[in-house]
Amino acid sequence: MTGETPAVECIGLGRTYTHRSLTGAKQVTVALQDLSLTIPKGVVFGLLGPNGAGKTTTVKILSTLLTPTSGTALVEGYDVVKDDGRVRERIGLVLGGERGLYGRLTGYENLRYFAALNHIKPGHAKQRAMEMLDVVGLGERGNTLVEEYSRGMRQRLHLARGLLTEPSVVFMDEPTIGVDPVGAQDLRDMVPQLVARGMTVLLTTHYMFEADQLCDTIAIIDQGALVALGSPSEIKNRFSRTSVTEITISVPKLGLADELSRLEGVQRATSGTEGLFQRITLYTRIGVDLEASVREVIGTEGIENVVTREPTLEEAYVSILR
Amino acid sequence: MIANAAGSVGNLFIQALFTYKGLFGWWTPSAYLPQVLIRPALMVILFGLIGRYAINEEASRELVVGRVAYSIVWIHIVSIVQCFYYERAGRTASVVYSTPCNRFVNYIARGLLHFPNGPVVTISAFLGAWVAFQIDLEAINFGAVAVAVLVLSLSSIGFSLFAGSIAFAIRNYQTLYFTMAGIVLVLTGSVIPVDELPEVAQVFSAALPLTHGLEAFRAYFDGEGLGAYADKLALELLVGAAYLLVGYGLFKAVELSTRRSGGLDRALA
Repeated sequence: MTGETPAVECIGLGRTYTHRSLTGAKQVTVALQDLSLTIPKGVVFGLLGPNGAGKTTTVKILSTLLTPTSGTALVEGYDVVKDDGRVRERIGLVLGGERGLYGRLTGYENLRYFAALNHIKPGHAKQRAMEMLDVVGLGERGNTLVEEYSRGMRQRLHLARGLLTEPSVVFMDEPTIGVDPVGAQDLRDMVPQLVARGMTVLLTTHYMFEADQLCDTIAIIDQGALVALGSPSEIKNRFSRTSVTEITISVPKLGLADELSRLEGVQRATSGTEGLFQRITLYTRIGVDLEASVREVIGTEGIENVVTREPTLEEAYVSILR
Repeated sequence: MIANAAGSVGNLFIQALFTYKGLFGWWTPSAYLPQVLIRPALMVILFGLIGRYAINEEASRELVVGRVAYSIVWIHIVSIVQCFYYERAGRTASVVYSTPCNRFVNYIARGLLHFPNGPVVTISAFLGAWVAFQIDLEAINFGAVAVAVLVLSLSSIGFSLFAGSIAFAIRNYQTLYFTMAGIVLVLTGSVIPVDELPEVAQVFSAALPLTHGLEAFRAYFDGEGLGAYADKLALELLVGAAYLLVGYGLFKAVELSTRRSGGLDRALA
């Protein structure tokens, strides 16, 4: 423990929404309940969960756009309700999708406007806007109206806007949603660079491989409550109920996957090809060792490789939420 | 300190420029020309003709002058309200609220660059009236009229910022604009003389923009000196300033209320 103030701290955070029905009856929806987590400085922290789990609610609370109905949230030690001004000086907000940009302004003008909102002096803002456009690869398109931008370009501009003030904490709410694979990977490649510059990133995403690739720590929330917390490896090992064994065979055999699926402990078997080889994937309960039984069924000849690999984050995620 | 002040003024101007360009839907030649330059002239001609053929020549002149002044309030309401409404409709408000920007500066910036549209529509409407009715120019105190136009532009910007805050709160633009512009048209003396309105309505008239300034505007059209109606212009400014402040209170209240309710990004009404 260094005793350093965490980048983000949530203590018993809760949020409910109250609606009135047509008959006037009060309806309460719980979006977040008793969420406690600590994000140290200089890490990428992933917040995962199904739709309606409370991810965006958490980001909204931390970026001062929503007040919690219970608990406390601190950003770099400042309370998001009582010290909202100080929190806003320290954060960058990167939204996904169509929200948050002015279509009738160019990319450069959008950045100049947000620089003014962030009290960056006009002389410096000019230079900073150009710099950020270059960083996100929009240097050539800075003078194009945003309404003419592709989805990927808009996301890049969102990122440039969020980083304009060189914030110490960046909230990225589904930043790659709807972006083509190459554009999404380009955006992902920028995240480690932010951490290298001393920023802390809170990332919400539906893409498990994205979280696996980028995050140092992951929190999975469901129905507003924290259900898992740890590094991607810890989550995969601790929460997955499935182990995966992959067998590569040089002499393909019809019906082999069916035959192997009847082995003790096998939940499911799939068959595919990899070049000239047959690849059979067996999903088993954790702790089941199949190698001997597999060799018995297939015989020793023809087996190129038998590998038991770590389950993916997606497999762990599904195990947790089912 | 001077550098800081210059930076703040610069940032105010940047906010004014980009809220104008980014949120005012008529800032394109195809919209600006018909809406800001042609329409006010046509409306003045229409009212002048109604006056001339339905009543008499004097009524026609009264309606023309009233309608020229009304054009200022009309253009400001319709354009500034857009700059609030489209912030909400375009779902950019949450990003603005997540910044440490000075809310009052951001609020008044939304009206700043609309100021020139007041004189622009006045000139357009006046030219329309002059071409159609050959208004006698000799009697007009042009200097005083120009001052009145500037004052009316300021007060109508204050009122329109207030209207914009309502649009921001209720997430509606057209209904609000028609209602507010309609109230100003009927109750401020631009069409119906205020002293001919029911007494209750006259109370509302006194609290609306244009009512006091229009009195001065009409008098300057008839050649009165600037000082003779300076008190009316001062009252006009006061009314505009009151709306500006109440509107700011509302703008802040919407921020606080949506933080509590979570309704900032809710679907539009």
